[in-house]
Amino acid sequence: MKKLPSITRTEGVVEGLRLQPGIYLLPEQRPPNAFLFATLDIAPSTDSAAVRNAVSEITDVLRELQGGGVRDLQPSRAQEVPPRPIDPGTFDFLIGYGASFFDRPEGAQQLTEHRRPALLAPLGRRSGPFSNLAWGTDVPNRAGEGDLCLQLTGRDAHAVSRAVVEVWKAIHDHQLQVTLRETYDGFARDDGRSWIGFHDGVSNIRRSQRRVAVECTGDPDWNRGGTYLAFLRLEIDLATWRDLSREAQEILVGRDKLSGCALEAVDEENGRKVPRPYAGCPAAPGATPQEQDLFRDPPESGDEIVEASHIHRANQNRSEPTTAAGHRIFRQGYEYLDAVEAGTPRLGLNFVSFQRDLEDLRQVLGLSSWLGDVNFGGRRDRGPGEPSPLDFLSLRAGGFYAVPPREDPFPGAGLFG
Amino acid sequence: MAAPGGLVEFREHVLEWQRRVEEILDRLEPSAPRQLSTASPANAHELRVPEWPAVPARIRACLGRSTADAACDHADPATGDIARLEFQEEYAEWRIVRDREGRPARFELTTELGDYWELFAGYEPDRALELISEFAGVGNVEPAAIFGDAPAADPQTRKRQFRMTMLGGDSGERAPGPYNNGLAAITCLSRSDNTLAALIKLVTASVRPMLVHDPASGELRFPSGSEAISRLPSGAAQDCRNSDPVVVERIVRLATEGRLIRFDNPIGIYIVGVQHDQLLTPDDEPVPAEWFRRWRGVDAEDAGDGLARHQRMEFEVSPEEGFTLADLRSRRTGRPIRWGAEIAELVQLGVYVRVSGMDAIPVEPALLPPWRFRPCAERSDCAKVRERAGRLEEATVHHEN
Repeated sequence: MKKLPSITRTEGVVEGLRLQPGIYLLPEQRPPNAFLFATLDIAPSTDSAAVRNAVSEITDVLRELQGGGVRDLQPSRAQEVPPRPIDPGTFDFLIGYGASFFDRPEGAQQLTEHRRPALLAPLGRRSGPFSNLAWGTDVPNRAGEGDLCLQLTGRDAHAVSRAVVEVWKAIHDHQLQVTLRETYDGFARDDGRSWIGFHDGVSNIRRSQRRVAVECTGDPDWNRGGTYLAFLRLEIDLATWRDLSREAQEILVGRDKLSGCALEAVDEENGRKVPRPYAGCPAAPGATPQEQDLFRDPPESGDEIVEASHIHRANQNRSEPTTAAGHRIFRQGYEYLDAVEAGTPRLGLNFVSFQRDLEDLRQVLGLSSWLGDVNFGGRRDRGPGEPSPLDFLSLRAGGFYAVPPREDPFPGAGLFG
Repeated sequence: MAAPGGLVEFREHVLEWQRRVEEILDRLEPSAPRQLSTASPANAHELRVPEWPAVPARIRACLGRSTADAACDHADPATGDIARLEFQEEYAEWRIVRDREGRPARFELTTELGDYWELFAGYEPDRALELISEFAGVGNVEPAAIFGDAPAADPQTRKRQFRMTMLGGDSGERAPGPYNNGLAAITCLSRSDNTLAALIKLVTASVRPMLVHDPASGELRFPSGSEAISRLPSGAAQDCRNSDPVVVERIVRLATEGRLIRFDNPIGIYIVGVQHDQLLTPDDEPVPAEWFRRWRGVDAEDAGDGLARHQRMEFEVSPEEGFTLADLRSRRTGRPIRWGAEIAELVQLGVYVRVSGMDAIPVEPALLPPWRFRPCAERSDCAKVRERAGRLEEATVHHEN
């Protein structure tokens, strides 16, 4: 059976790397197929020691499972032979600490002496977290925001689902003082496209530069070598999107739908707006950096309509991750299909990003020339024939989490004092 | 060259400003690359806007967010916003006016160049006094407060008087006066590296085609700001800031793409955006954009090219609202606003440059060797920042509620 790539197994290859597994940033790594995001809550009366014990126990269960061991299937009678172990290494897990781990409800016991990092804040209900990304209708309170989170990424749905169930068993069997609140699933597409039909992740940070974008360098000190996770479960109104012509979709995205090549301009032909990709894209082998970037990270075109498209708004400064004002984030998203309701699929993207500072994501989604004044792309002050900056994304769940570095006995153990 | 922001208050004396800009450009001319010297409105008209947040990134990296934000507001009852001179290094400087309890009540930020104000006060002293009165919210300001004495009869002497009183002298050897140190007002940029010369040097020095060979992928790529800065003349740019690395990175990339590059007219640092909706009222409503007054420059609708060019921003809550700035909450942190930096981080600045299309001129990019990024917090200049912050902490009181 093919083993999953994992940071754990590349330990020692990359000097000083202490990020938890489940962040696939190294050149040889690819995110596995299945995704499951679980949130956990801690009862208000629980003290720090009990939570520490619970997280430690959950970590042990998951590590045993990674090694092929299932607790229920251990011999308990005389002369029993252990069953054949399950496939080892079928999933990775990552533990995160949410805002409510640090800011406990009134009357609840404090769990840590450390202050909540300033930007590790609740997403907010009434005002919402972002100006142009609103909550969907009937979204439960705190959807996606737990005191703790587990990100599970694995070979298939079974691998990550079994891990969550094993966690539940441990909570139940040991009466651990945490509860599983909710899970959100997702999967990787093998065609490199998103539900809207376009290439996705093309302009993600080049592999050699990802670590800088992801890894915290201090402030607070306990997260040095760790990172911050943003989880936003976005619902896509696919019917509305598909009502657009291919040309309108391409103008809003900034790419040719079939080839993925970036647009250089939007021409006017008989009163119609016609997107024009860069000539010479896709580049042939041996192309110059400029030619290669016509696909991956296109230059600014000088065309105002193109500049207002999604791919340009998401990376206005065209910076490498070391540049603070570049606001680069490392995206590792997974698509989902929830259900078919009233004949329409409810689907979208589990937007997952890792960044050294949550301010970078805030800026990308907040600055008006970036994604702050639109839901996806386009110009608010559009000209005749230009597609409307459509509002077709909404938020079904979301939360920010601190993801401390690897540590014994578990990541974040130092938070408990 | 028009006056910064497209301001017309300078009338015919705008030629003095033009002369100042040309002097600085001429000093750089011998080494100016052809991509710069041959660019003109005819062959380089596409707009590019390297942009950055006004909050000092390097100071936050060195001190940590909460310590840095408090440090940036350090004030001395006698000399005013001394932390501004120490830490506000992003081509923007601000003051925060506090109420009797020390809570923030008003935020003012400027990107106006001291060079401009020196000339303006020299040639238009009455208008300068009027404006400074408006900045301070008082009926009138005594001339001696901005000229150090009765204004001299000739512009040259008035310029010097203004420089000594409001800009801290020829090389920042003294503290600016109360109308530019935050005690009564903030008028224009006062740090020695927030100047016209520094801005021009930053941009022109960056017009250098460069590529980095990435050993991990085997590809050639454009250099990061940090990588490019390491190849620029000493003092042209400071790494780890918000401003310099992004400006350098953008300009180097444009140069490497074979573009002609020139400053937009008028040259200046402009406020290109304010995330007003990141501040929430006690009712959890986003603060409206109108509460931020942006001025000292032309509005978009009045500009020939549709580009706003504002250089000053003022923000406070109207008394009619029944609450104050201190009652506002940051959507980002969920906490009340305490420091100017928490508002400055919502202000986006930019420098406007004009470029030609790609491959307008043949270029031979310098090939940079691999360069390993060292986190800003671990660099030696951070030790100096920490030392200065510690010194300020001991010497001054900050208004913490």
